[in-house]
Parts: sequence; structure tokens; C-alpha cells
Amino acid sequence: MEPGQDLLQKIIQGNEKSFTVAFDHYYPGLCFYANKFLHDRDEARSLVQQVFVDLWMKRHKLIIEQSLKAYLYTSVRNYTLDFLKHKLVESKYLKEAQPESATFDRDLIEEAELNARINSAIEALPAKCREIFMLCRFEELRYSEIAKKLGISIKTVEMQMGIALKKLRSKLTGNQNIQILLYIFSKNN
Amino acid sequence: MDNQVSDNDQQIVSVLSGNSSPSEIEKLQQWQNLSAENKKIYDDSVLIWGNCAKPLTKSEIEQDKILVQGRIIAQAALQHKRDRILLKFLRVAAILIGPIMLVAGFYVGNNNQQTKAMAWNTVTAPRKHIAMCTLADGTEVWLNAGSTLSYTASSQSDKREVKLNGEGYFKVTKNTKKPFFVITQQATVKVLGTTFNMKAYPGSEQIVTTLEEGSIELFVQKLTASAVRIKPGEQAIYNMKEGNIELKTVEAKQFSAWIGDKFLFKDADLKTIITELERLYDIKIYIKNPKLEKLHFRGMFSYDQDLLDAFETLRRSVKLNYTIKGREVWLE
Repeated sequence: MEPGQDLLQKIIQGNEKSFTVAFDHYYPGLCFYANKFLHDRDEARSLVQQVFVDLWMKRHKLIIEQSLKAYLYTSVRNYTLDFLKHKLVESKYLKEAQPESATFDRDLIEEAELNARINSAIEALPAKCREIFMLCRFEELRYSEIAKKLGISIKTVEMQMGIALKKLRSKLTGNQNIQILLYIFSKNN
Repeated sequence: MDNQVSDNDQQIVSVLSGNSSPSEIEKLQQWQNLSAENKKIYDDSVLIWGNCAKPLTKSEIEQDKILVQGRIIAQAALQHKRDRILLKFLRVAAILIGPIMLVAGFYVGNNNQQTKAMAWNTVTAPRKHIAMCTLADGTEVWLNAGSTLSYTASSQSDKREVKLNGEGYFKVTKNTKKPFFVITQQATVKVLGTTFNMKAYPGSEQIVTTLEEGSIELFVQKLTASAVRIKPGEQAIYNMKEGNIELKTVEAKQFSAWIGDKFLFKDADLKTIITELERLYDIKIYIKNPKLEKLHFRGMFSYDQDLLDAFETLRRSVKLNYTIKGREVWLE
């Protein structure tokens, strides 16, 4: 699902469609990545938006030495560092934002991309199933609370949660990236 | 076989979400140890569960995309100022060529935009009501029924920008150093200090901007910005379908009559009136005979007017019959 290699080239030439394609493809992952440093969802979004604005505004000056993906992630990282410096939040966040090695940084990018893929897999769940899953995972409601809220049985919640997990897994484990991530994951823990 | 897996999935996700008893957790542990395959299913599930961050919704992503486009327009507009000589030349060129639009897409971005993140606040005027708010810089905004305005909360922001969804009447505080931007889905207006009305309802084919005082520039929302300057007493109608902008001279006050709780029609067709009535009274109106849509009408409705009065006005002046069923109205 990676967009074509010529995407960056087309953006530089002023192709609006390509710019939109790049936005749709990379925006969610980049927001997740920025949020890892900023711990603020809205700030992360605003910052990633600025990266896209600047990509378009400065496209004539871009020198392509790397892929679009690498360019975007590097920009987001530099902008976050800049932002944190400006804010003079030098405490733990800034420390976190300066990775000790390039490997760590690459891991974070992989993680952000996996996250974006999980999100689109959640988005693709059947409506009811997604609602139940999101209430459980993000609102942290217990099964009994979800059942009460939606006026369904606990058994149904259990079943839907099982279906959600199964669907997510079958969609994501076919991807070879998850193997790499599994490795990173085990290493970091 | 399929059911078997699904059962395991139920147990795994129940453990991961903390809905299992210790004995159930123990059971899953044993199941995991049965085979390498089981172990893998469990590990993958943990990974997926752990990496779920609250996703951006589709509509959030769409909104953010509009914002990016709006900011591109805004930034391009700021550069216009720097490249004024070039702009002048372009304007002359544009007059010579004919179309009123200026294509300014090739401006090279050279300003070091400071990255300032900010949070958005949103004001919504409920149906049947008008909302008014004052922004940090003293700018006053009236919002027509059902419209939404989002603005940045920080007053230290180096930008003045708001997002408009629907219709708003703006009295923008003058600040020549910091232009004020109204970003809508399809067009952006750049303002220095002035009074104007902007109508940009989602789903509508037109964006109507009417200027009372001062001067504004309208940018059509394409990444390569096109600008039209609007003078007091002028109205710009951007037709999205045809992609053109029509400029005409109007009685500007008439288009902001709604802020005084009045709704004016001067020679409007029935379709326009119906759209307004639907929004005003939160109802759905159907016309039985499509030819009636083109029917012209002159008159005035008031916001506090009863819905029946409004239809009586219509019936008396254009001889339309109406049938009301719940929140639906048929006209013939």
C-alpha cells in the first residue's frame, strides 16, 4: 500500500492530487509519531499540518536525497524538537525526543506506521463491532458497562470483542512488518 | 475450526482488557503453552492491543486536510505582500488576459514560519438561534443558525485564523501586521480590518462573500492560490461547480440583516428561500412541482416569526399551498 516512488517528484512539480494522496497516507502515522514526543494530540496534529504546509510551500527548493516518507518523518521530528525547545520544556520530554541512536528512531517510525495501520483496520471494522471495541479500548469501559450503555448482553460484548480481535489480527499479521515490530517490541521490553 | 479460533480470541481480548478472572487468565496461559502457534496468536494480539492509540477519526483527518489547505493559502497570501511588485505586474497581466483571477501558485516559500502549535475552540450556533462571540483580538463574529466557528485559543499566536462552517458576519479588529484569515472548506478570505458577511454552508454550491467596509481578498481553495479583491458594497459569488467568481454590486447591509434577527429576501427564488427556512426552523421542505423552484419572491421573514406565519406569507404572496406533516412540509 506504499504510494509510488514518484510521489515526491510529482509534489515538487506542483501536482495537487499527489499532495493529497501523501497527506491521506502519511498524516495519521505522523500524528502518532509527533504525539510520542509531545504527549498532546492537538499539538501533534497542528505541528504535522505545518510540516505539510511547508512541504508544499517549499517544494521548489526541496532537494531529494531521501524518500518522501523519510523526509516527512525527519521533518516532524525536527519540528517537534524545535517546538519543545521553544517551549523550554527541557525535562523528560526533550530527553525522550532525542533518540540515542538511529535505530531507536527507526523503531519509532515503524511503530507509528503500525499504529496507523491498526487505526485503519479499526476503522474498517463493522460499525457495531467498532463501537464496542473503541468503548472498551479507549474509554476503558468494562464489558458490563458497555453492555449496559448499549442495551445489549455481556455475551454479545464478549463475542463482538472476539470478532474485533480476530479481524484485526488477520488483517495485520499477513503483513511482514508485524514480524519486524514483534522483534522491536520484544527488544524494548 | 473457525469457531474454535473465535473462542480463543474472546478469551485473549477479555484478558487483555482486564475483564477476566484469575482462573481465566491461568487457563489462557496454559493454552498459550500448548503450541508455538498459540503463542504467536497471543503475542500478535498483545502487540495489536498495545499499539492501539485512539485513532484520528475520518472527519478529523478531513478537517485537518482543509486546515492545511487553508494555511497554505494564508501563507501564500502573506508572501503576496512581500512580492508586491510582482503581484502588481501579475494584476496588469491578468487584466490584459481577461480573467479576474490571479494565479500565484509559483510563489516560492522563503519565510521561516515558526512552528506554533495550538488548540482549537469551537462555537456552534444552535438551530433557530444566532450566536455572537468576541475573539481574543477584539474581533466580533455573529454566527447564523446551525453554523460553526473554530478559532485558536491562544492570543499570542502569530496568526489570526478562524474556520467557518456556515454563515458568519465579521467585524474584524484592524491590525495591519497580522492579517485575519477566515478559512472555509472551499475558499479563504484575507482581512486586515473590516466588516463583511460570508456564507459557506457545506453542501452548497456557492460561497457568497459580501463586503460592507474596508477591503478583503478572497482566495479560492486550491493549492495554487487565486485571489480576488473585493471592494465595499461588492459581493463575490464563488461557484464551485463552474469554478468561477462573479463580482457584483449589492446593498451589503441586506445580506447581514439576519444578525438583527431579520431575514430578508430581495428577489430570491423559492429554492433559496426554502434552504433558509429549512435551516431556520429545522424542517424538511419538499416541492411537488420542480418548476416552482425558479419562482421569484420578494419579502421578509423574521427569526422570531412562527413557522405558520412564514408559510402564510408565502401562500398569500405567491399563492402556494402547503401541507405540514411533523417536521416535513410539502409545497405545491
